[in-house]
Formats: sequence, structure tokens, C-alpha cells
Amino acid sequence: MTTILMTLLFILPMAVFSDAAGLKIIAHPGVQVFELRRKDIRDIYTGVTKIWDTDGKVIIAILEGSELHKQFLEEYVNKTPIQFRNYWREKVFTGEGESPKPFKTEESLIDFVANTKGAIGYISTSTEKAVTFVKITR
Amino acid sequence: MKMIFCLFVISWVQGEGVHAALTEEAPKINIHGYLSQGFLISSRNNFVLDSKKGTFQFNELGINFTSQVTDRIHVGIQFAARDFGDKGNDKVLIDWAFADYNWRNWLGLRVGKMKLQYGFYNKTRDIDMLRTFILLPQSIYPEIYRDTATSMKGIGLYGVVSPGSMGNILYQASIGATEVDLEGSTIDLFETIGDINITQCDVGRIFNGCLVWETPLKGLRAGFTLLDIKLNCSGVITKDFTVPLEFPPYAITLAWKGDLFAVECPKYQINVFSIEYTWKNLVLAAEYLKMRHEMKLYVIDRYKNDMLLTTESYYISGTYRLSEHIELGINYSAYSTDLDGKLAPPPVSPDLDDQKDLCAAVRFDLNAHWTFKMEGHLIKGAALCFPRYNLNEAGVPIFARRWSLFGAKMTYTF
Repeated sequence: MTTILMTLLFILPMAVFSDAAGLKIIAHPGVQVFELRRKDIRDIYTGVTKIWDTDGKVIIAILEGSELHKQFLEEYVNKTPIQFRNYWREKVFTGEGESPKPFKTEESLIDFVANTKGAIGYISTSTEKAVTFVKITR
Repeated sequence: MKMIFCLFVISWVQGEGVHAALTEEAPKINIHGYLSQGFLISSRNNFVLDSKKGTFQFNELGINFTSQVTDRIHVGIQFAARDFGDKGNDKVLIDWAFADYNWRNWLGLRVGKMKLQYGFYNKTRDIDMLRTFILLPQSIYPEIYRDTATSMKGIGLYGVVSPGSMGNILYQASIGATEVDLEGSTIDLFETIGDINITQCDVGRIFNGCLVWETPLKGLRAGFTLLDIKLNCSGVITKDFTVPLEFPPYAITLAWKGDLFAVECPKYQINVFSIEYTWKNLVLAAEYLKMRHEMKLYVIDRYKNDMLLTTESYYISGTYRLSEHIELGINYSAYSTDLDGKLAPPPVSPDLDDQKDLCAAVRFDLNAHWTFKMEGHLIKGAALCFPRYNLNEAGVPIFARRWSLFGAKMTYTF
């Protein structure tokens, strides 16, 4: 019994669909990504990863101006919302990238991810929409 | 003025009509722009034309159009204009225009006119809202050389490799050419301190390489950039060129006013080492630059001299965001230069050999689109001060050793 408990305690934090703040990563089903490391998430949201392994361009969706956005950036991207905005403005004004797609509500972000090839986003709620919940690993 | 009007019209219609006018099948065209107006006032030396009296001839504006044509192909163009004293004069130029083919994350290709990369911040020096300071640290990013350090035409490769747990290594390598503006500040500097009139300047080739290591330590990145240029210039000497001998008052005149000259620069190389650490609202940065400029000067049929111009400079900088609306910054930068040669010309002024600058800045983010900044500089030396704006009655550049500079700037971005 102790062994089972120890194993569960070890495994559970290693691979979760949502983090302590209840944040979940969702992706368009066509992306065929089921698991991402924290570093992968940072690379995606900083434009270092531009192309999915399964082909196709990475399209980033964000919940701009929300508390969830702030938590997500702090936890996974190591940037404040203003640093993140300026980081992407740098790419926009040097021609090296397009800004992430901003959304005001989780519903609209979920709709976008469900209907846009290559899209990825983060939410705090559950959904029945056709999106893939991505497991977050260390 | 036309450019400003266009910027406002386009920013207004951006959300309304441009996207709607396109069919679903057509690639979407994204439009972004910026406009900034600054004010500079200096004591004792003119940093820019008439800055001792205060000048508003200090602005930048730009607009870009980009489109993701396919999953892997991205194209775009940016028009930009600037005014800095009597330089720029809001003449609209193509800042960058290139096609980007992103084959894999580790390999992409760009063709066209691209921003030159040296140090972490040269690419973004025109874009005021991206930094705390109005002027980037002058020791590494001098305004006086800005016109020749913006873009290059050519072809470039870029990508990222992630070796295990070592973080990411981003690379970029470009080769091409650039044009030198004969009315620009760099040529102006050489003409003033060299008593010459440059009538032709060709950049044979530019190589621009950059490596950035995003370390496994959160927020820490380090970089190295290399800029290697080959160029040739020619023109006319505007004042007799006399070199003092070892025992004054004896001197030798090597060239006379009206003589033709040519300069070959077989090696003009700039290396920059950069490091930046971000921890929450604190950003610390430091950069070190070494420049080596080998020149062969020929005064037709009369005189030949090999000269070596070396420059060493660095800065350290810290910024801290106090709140959503206020950010503070401080930096210290130091620059020194040395000209060596068999018969090097006498120094125009000892104050042109070095410059040390302590700068403190405050930035206000009024909202996501508007920023307002103020900064003050305490400066020793005048190596990065425009000589032409500091001439005495005899036409010789003369500087005060200690001087100060204050700047304010407002920027709108969309």
C-alpha cells in the first residue's frame, strides 16, 4: 500500500492535464500533440517553435488582460504581460513573426482553437468542444 | 506629414475595413505601425544640431504590412522615416522587406532586405516602445553611426537547436550588401574629422552572424554577434594634411587641399558579446563591443598609409518595472577609440577619443499604445558627439569635456 501511494505521489506531479492553478493547455486535434514539457510550452509561446512536428504552423492564442494570462506567463513563459507584449512587438516590427491571437473570453478562445489548424491555447474551464487537452510534464 | 496622415488613416481602418475587404481564401494582411516624437536639450556640447537650444528634430515613424502566405512562407515590408537634427529629414525608406521560408524549426531562409543584428538590441533601435531608455547605450549603439547599421540586402539562414537540457541555441547568418548614405551621419563624421569630402562609398560585402544561447537558467541568455564589412571610399581632400614630426614645430604636409584620395577597408569587423538576465520585473543587461577597422589610405600618386582604428566599449544596464504604468532604468556606458598608423593624422580633439555616460530614465505606459519617457545623461568626453555641430569660428571641432543631455519622448504604437 505504501509503495502504491509513493508511486502515485511521484507520478502525479510529473504528468498532469491541469496545473495547480487549474490551467489547462488545449490544441487543435490536427496538431496531434498530447504531451508537452514546460520548456516546450515556453518555446511555443516565445516563437522559438514555429512549426509543429506533425507539420503546419504554430498559431498561439492568448487570453489577453486576464488573470489567467498573467499566471500562465509567469508559470510557463517567465515573462510579465508587458514583457510578453513587447517581446512579440519586437518580432512584429522586425518582420520575424506575428503577434499571438488575443481573446477576451475562454469560450471564444476555445472556439478558435477548435476551428483553427495548428492552434494552441490555455483555459481554466472544461469544454466539450473538439480540442485536445495536452498533458503538461516537467 | 503625408506619412503621419497615412499612419492615422490606416490605424483607424485597420480593424474596420482592411480585413473585411479580403476574402476568406486570401491571406490576411496585418498592419502595424509606430510614431514617436522626441525632444533633446544638451548643455555645453551640441549632441545633435542645435540641441544646446533644445530641438524637436527627433522623431521616428514606421508602418509595416505582413502576411502569412502559407504555413511556411511569411512576407512583409516596413517603411520607416526618421528625423535627427539635419539627418533623415523624415525621408521614407524601406526599412526591411523580405520573404521568409520556415522549413523546420532548425532551418529557415530569408531573402530580401533584413535588419542588421549586432548586440541584442540593434534590430529594434528604431522602435522606441520596446525599451525603457530613449537612447540605447551610446557606447554600443551610437546615434552617429546609426544610418549605416540598420539593414542589409541579401540572403540569410536562421533557426534553433536544443541540445538536450542545455536550453536553446538560436542562430542567424546573413550575407549581402548595403548602401551608405553620402548625406548620412557616418559620412558626415568622417568628413568633418578627416577634412575630406567623400564622393563615393561602396560596401562590397557584409557578413552578419549571430548566436544566442537561451540558457537552462530561467531568464538568462547570452549572445555573440559578428559584423564583417568590406568597403571602399573615395573623394577629395578639403584641407592640407599636415603631420607634426617628432620635434615640433617641424611638420610635413602629405596632401594638399583638392587632392583625390581613396580608402580601402579590407577588414571592418565588429564583435559584440551580450548577456541579459530577466527576473520578474527586473532586467539586467551588459554588452561588450570590440571593433577593428583596417584602412589603406591612398592620396593619388603621392602618399600611402595603413591605419588601424580600434574601438572598445561596454555598458551595464538595469531596469525595473514598478507598476503597470511606470518603469525605471539606469545604465552606464563607456567608449574608447584609438587610431594608429605609420603617419596617423593628429587628433582633432582629445575629447573625441572617449566618452563615458551615466543615464537614468523613467518610462510611463499610459496604456497599451501610448508611452512617455524622460531621461538624463551625465557625460564625460565627446567621442560620440557630432563634430559638425560643435565647430568654432575657424571651423575646428571643439568640445567641453563634461556635459549633460536631457531627452523626452512620446510614442504611439498600433
